[in-house]
Amino acid sequence: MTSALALAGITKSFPGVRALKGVSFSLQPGEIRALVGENGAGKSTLMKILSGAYSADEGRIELFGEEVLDPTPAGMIARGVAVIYQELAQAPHLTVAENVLMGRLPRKGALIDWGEAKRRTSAVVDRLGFDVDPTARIGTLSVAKRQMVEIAKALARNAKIIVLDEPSAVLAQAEIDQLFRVVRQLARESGVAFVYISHRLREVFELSDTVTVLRDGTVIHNGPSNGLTTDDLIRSMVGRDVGDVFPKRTPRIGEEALSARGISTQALLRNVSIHVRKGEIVGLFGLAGAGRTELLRAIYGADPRDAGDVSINGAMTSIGSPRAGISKGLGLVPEDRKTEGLFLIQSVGFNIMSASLAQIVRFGLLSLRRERRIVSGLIERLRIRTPNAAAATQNLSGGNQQKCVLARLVSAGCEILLADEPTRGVDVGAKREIYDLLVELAEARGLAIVIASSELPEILGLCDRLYVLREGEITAELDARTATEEDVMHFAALH
Amino acid sequence: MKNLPRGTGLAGALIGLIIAASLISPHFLNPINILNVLRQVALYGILGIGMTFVILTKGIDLSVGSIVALVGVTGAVLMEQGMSIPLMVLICLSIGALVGCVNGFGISHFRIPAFIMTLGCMVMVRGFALMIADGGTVNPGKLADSFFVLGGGYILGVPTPIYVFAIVCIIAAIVLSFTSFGRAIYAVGSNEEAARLSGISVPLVIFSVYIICGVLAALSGLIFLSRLSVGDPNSGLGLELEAITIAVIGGTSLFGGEGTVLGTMGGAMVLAIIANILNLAGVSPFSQQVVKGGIIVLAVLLEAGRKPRS
Amino acid sequence: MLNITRRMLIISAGLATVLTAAPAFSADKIVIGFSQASSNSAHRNTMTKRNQAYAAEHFKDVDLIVTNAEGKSAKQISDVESLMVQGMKVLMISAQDGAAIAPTVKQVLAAGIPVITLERSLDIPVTLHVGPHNKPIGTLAGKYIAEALKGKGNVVEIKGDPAVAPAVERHEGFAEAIAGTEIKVIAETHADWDQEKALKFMEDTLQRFPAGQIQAVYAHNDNMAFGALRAIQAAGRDKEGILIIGIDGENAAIRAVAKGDLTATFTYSTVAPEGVIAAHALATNDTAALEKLGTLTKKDDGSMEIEIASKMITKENAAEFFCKGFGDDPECK
Repeated sequence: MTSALALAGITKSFPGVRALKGVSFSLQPGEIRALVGENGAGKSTLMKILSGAYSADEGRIELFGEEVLDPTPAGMIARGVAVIYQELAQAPHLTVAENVLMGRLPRKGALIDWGEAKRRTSAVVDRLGFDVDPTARIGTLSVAKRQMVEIAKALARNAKIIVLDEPSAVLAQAEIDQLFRVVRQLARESGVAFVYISHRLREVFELSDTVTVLRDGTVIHNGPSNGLTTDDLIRSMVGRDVGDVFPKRTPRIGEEALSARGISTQALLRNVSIHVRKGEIVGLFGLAGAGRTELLRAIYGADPRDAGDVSINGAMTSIGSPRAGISKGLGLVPEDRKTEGLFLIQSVGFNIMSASLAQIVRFGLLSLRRERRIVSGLIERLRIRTPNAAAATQNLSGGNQQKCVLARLVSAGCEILLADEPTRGVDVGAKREIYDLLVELAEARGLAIVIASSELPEILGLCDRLYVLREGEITAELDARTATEEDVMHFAALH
Repeated sequence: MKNLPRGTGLAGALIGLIIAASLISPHFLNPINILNVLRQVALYGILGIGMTFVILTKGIDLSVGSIVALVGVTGAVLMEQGMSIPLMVLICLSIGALVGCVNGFGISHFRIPAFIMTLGCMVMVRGFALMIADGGTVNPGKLADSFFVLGGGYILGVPTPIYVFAIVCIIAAIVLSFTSFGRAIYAVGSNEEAARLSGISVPLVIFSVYIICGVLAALSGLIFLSRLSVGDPNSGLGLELEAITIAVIGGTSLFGGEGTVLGTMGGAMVLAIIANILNLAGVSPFSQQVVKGGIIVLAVLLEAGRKPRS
Repeated sequence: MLNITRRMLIISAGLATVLTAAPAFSADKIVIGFSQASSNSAHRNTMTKRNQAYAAEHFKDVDLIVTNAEGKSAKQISDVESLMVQGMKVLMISAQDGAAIAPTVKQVLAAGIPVITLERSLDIPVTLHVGPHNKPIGTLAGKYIAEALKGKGNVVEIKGDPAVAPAVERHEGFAEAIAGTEIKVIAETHADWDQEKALKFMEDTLQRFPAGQIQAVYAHNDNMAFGALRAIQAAGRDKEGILIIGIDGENAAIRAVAKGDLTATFTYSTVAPEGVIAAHALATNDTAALEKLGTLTKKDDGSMEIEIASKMITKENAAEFFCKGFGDDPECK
């Protein structure tokens, strides 16, 4: 059987960087291949070459036995390659039908034949087994449905090879299950080949037939997923023995540091109460929309609350703004560091000092020398990888950016750390470093830490205790060391 | 091109202009001409510095030209009434601060886009100026010497406005680079939400920069008044665009968070030298506009070419 | 509910009656419409105010309605239309843009309403045009400079806004007058009637032409002449005897001429109270009053014109004109 796709010796360089070196693998019709690797390993470069956006410096691309000599985006689409990116490129004001049949709407003479468009769209959508109105506007649909529309668009163009780039990052579990069902069905019944890119290693085992591991632009491993273990995968990705994913804990728990009682907000939260002690790491788990972010922001003072109070170290306080929160020792790692947490165009030093300038003020002016010392100390302690303190934060990788946020809180003397998805968009190696850091902050420095996360293994592996949120209410408080995933999901999901 | 330090494009344009100017006209390097050019740098540069503060927070202030007119007219009327100069100066600077307050309030409290809010003030303030002056110029008679010195006088052989500009620049540079307030300005312009979550009072920062811009516009207006000796309600038309151009050529990004006092000074110099060369060379006024615009586009392109695309 | 609706109906009916009756109350008075182009210069404001004041004091039988187009020709069109609706018997108009307003003016004439243009003329024939001529001013200025410099010398010309007729005509008259002499315009610019722009240009021009190379400055209005004066004073070259000529006859300029700072200026009539007097005369068919204003010339196309000639003000006669111009002068209070 001819391979659907065969890549041989693909090499691509950019000024100063060799992104891909001699990458080869093949894809059979109906095969689901996972593509994994740390950030910067070359996954997105490879996908851009496959989609025709880049051209390889060396190497050969064969689609269904035919060599592709001069790839262009339009050309690759015409040959049946579709790439579905994480940031869906859709026009929110257009309808489902217009998106699915984009560029190829059926015509009646000079006018568009809407009846036919609806019919064709429904046909494709039904094939996928999901339910959507062809005349609905994309902007009104959920992310999961919008992804389905993208897949429908690919099918409408007779795609035979579909690349999915981190699709599960923005989906809830039930939606992920549906996505997998659709992928398997298309692979089995229509012979569509898939390349599935994900950081979530569990999904690799659950969904894929084969897996390719990229590291530093080279293929480290190419083979069936059966028989591999998570450790094998991680070792290939990171290049060293990672040991356990999570650091060993020797908790030293002290007195109560934070107690939030009866927190209610207009939009979502109903009478939520949590408490955290010094040296403790408490998890906050819930599905999308359960209220994790809302709770952290309400405690921090970033959003107003209708009811409830917060005590810090036993004393009741009123916190109405982030400024007040910071002065009482609270620190927030926001959910989206790019839009809420960092000043991307400013330097690493600027970002780190932005909440604690008071400590370098001498005679009313900032002492840049003191600043340099404090900043370089923190860069070293937190192992932030940056050419220097003056580098623009936007040039750092996701993990190092997150460390900048943490460094800022450490510099500000944070005692109660509220972390919202601290390892989202961070690759495996850096994830471990952040876990180590959080554990050190709790155990060696006695910080009280609350981690809100949608990754259950992370919560169970790192925390001492956890709360489960569902639709704005706490449904359970469990011991993280003894709880199982089933226990937690039971309280988190709707029945 | 990409890895050259900031401001290379600007410095290059400046040096190129100075060389070209010296070649085009022998009068350019005449000390009196240089002082005239520096005086122009000072007059428009003060407005440019005020505008830099505002643009750093991703805002804009279109009302500065009208403030200049209102201050000119008010100052002339007050002097006509025989008010003491220090008091008149105080009142005029307060007018600038007041307009800045109104702008700042609308923008930070009611979240009205800066373009629209300051546009509204631009029209309203100019209306006030026309009302006070009854449509014509206000002639206060002979100016008190103590005031005339400000715009038309010299200290140690150097025009006074240049000293004023130097002081404004030094203070502005210190504030932006060496105070928490300055950092807060850059933070708000880079990412308003992150600034808020870092404990910065965003409304206070926004308020402050518009007040600063208003006061500096008023200061500029006083210098203009001192130079012309009449209050003209129609003066200052188009000054806001000049101030914005100076800031932008100087490397201040309209997207906020980027810009320096040094850059704005450079921008003021570029514009002043261009205008001077064109007059010295006797270029027709229509061609002057084309040339000015062309050089501005060139300077901005050079600076844009230096930045890597994000 | 019904009661409220009934009440509203009665109130609306009442208002409607009052509003329609209102014009009837002033039906005894003669309605004269005055469409002014803008209000952003002392000259124009004086035109408006003095005509209004004269009408209020001397023509008790007149209701003078003034509109201001704020510099927008589109607004002036709708201003004139609304004046028609208000039943005007005569239209006084100083046009923002002659070509734009011509069709509307034709309609007014077709409706049998006489039209008087003030200061700015239109290309189409109207009933009467009253105002000063710009070209003769330029010619006078040119002749004066030619004589004073004995036919030879360098002049700097500072022009007004290139889009309006006065600036074009003041330039043309001047250019014609110096043609054939050895007077040369060595530098020129458009300073848009703005003092600061004139000052800046003069500053640089003084650099370009050192001592002895500039004999005269011809500025299209007094404001810009003052700008040139300040530049000359600041450069310490006021003893060179550079002639500075402005136009408009503002009070401050007249004083400056008397003092010797400016060399000369020209009165530029604000057509007040001539404008409203002419309008009243046309409305009451009083030809005698019309002829008292000045020489009435009848043109081939049926229109009439009264030219209010400009007078040149120099040091010799400045004292006669003190406070008779317009604009702010602290000694004229």
